[in-house]
Amino acid sequence: MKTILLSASLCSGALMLGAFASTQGFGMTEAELFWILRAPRLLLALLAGMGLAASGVACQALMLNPLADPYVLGVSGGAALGAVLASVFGDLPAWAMIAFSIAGAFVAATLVFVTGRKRGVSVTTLLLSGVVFNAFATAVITLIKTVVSAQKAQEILFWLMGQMSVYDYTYIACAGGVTLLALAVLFIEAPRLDVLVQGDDVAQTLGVDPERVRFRVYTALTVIVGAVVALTGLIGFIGLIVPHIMRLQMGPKHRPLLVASAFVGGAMLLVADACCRLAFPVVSTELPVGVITAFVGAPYFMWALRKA
Amino acid sequence: MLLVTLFVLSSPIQSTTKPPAAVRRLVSVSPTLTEIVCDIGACDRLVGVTRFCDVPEHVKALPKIGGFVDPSIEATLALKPDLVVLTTNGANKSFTEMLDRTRVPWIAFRDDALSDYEVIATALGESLGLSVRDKVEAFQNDLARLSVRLPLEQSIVVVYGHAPLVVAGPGTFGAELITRIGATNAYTGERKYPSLDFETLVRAKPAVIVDVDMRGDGRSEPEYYAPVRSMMKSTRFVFSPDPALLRLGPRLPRAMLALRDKIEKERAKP
Repeated sequence: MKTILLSASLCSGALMLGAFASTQGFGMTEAELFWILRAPRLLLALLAGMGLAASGVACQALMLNPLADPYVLGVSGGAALGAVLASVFGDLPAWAMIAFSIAGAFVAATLVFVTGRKRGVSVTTLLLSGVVFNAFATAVITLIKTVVSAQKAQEILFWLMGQMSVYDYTYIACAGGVTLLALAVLFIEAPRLDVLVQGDDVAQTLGVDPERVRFRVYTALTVIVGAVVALTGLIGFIGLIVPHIMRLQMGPKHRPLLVASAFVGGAMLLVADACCRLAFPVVSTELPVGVITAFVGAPYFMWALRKA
Repeated sequence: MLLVTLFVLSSPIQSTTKPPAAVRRLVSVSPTLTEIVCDIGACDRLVGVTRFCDVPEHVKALPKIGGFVDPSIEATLALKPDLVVLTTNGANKSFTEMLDRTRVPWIAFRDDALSDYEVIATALGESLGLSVRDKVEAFQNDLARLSVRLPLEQSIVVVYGHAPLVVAGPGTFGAELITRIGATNAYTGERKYPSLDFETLVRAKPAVIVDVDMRGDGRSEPEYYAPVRSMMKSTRFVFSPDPALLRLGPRLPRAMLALRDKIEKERAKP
């Protein structure tokens, strides 16, 4: 199935490659066009989808709440704020952009958790802290958009809507490297999450240090969200609905759930990106991928809520 | 970084890939450039335009490559252009970087000041192998007619948009219109297209507000200014929602002349 999706995504778009290709008149070979235009998008969609879905699984496990995801907790907002601040400084190298974004995500996660801890780590308080931080981050980004040039404001606006048009392998390699490392941490910690969701007392009885697990998992998901947001902007719902869907299929064990969510998240974003490209002849613009995920995710989530 | 630095210069910026001697397949990423290309007689070489390109009428039927701030690199390449023309106010840097990587020649023009028209028309003429001298002269003659009229000696503000309230700042052809007709710009700041609030507008005390906003929302124009009308009793309002006033195209000087006449007519009212 994934092979079919990959092939379809590789070939489709305003520029047909592969079986339908006609590269006469380009002055470039089909392979060159593929590596410059299509392959980076494919890699980015897979990477971002995997990262967002896996971080959603981790968030929901940490919060013991199916409504939790990096976006709701303000981590995505913090990452976006960090990346926007970085973009104001001009053309920073890829690692610096990603570092700013990860730093923003860390600040958001720390603030949200510090606020929550003072009140006894109430899940509701944490979620509310995330909502408040998102509002704050949005306000600062709006302020930045107001004072920068019109051209820069437009760039920020398009980036914030969620996009896959990053063609720079250096960016993708940097973000991919840290994301895969953080995914490995989540994979290693997944069995301990199974214990943690039964409560701190049970975890301690079974020899699991809840604070240590939380710290590792939170650090990993923050790194993933920071790295992904730096490249793609804000893409909602992948981290929320994919873990939901996969939990129904795979059960509550976190390791298989994490792996399955990562793969389905990657596939879902791959399809969403292909839809954006295929919609071009209809809307005369490339839709932001966040629009597609929201169109699919919001109705699904409403349906799931009603069913629950 | 070099590209960013170059983008602030007035001369056109070109890709390192040179276009062929005779350009046959042209993609325009700007409604202004589309209008100029057609005016100099190369409309038949356009193979792709933005979704905002609407003059002349028949370019609406051409394949679209996206908007002028969000062009699609794939849609552009699919048209196999041998030259892409764009403006520095529109298409972003990553788009030109991708054109470079795919070895598609491009030229980026600044389109802020009236003097930019000659630069654009001349460079396009050279790339397309066409003479544009008569077009440039006609443009400049129309502008000269604008200058020889009696000066207005009043402060004017040119309003481009309502939400937010965007006015013409220094270095824009809107501001040049004001000075060419002998008036002064009521906006004295440094930004090219600043967003103002009503308080700033009232404090600037413009004698005339020239509003060229293309709202099309069905509201009558004076309604927008209703909250401040009582504080601006001596200010005259001239509404001219002409799209030609928003683009540095061949229709601009004539539209400016018509606007100037409107301003004079408004002044003459008791």
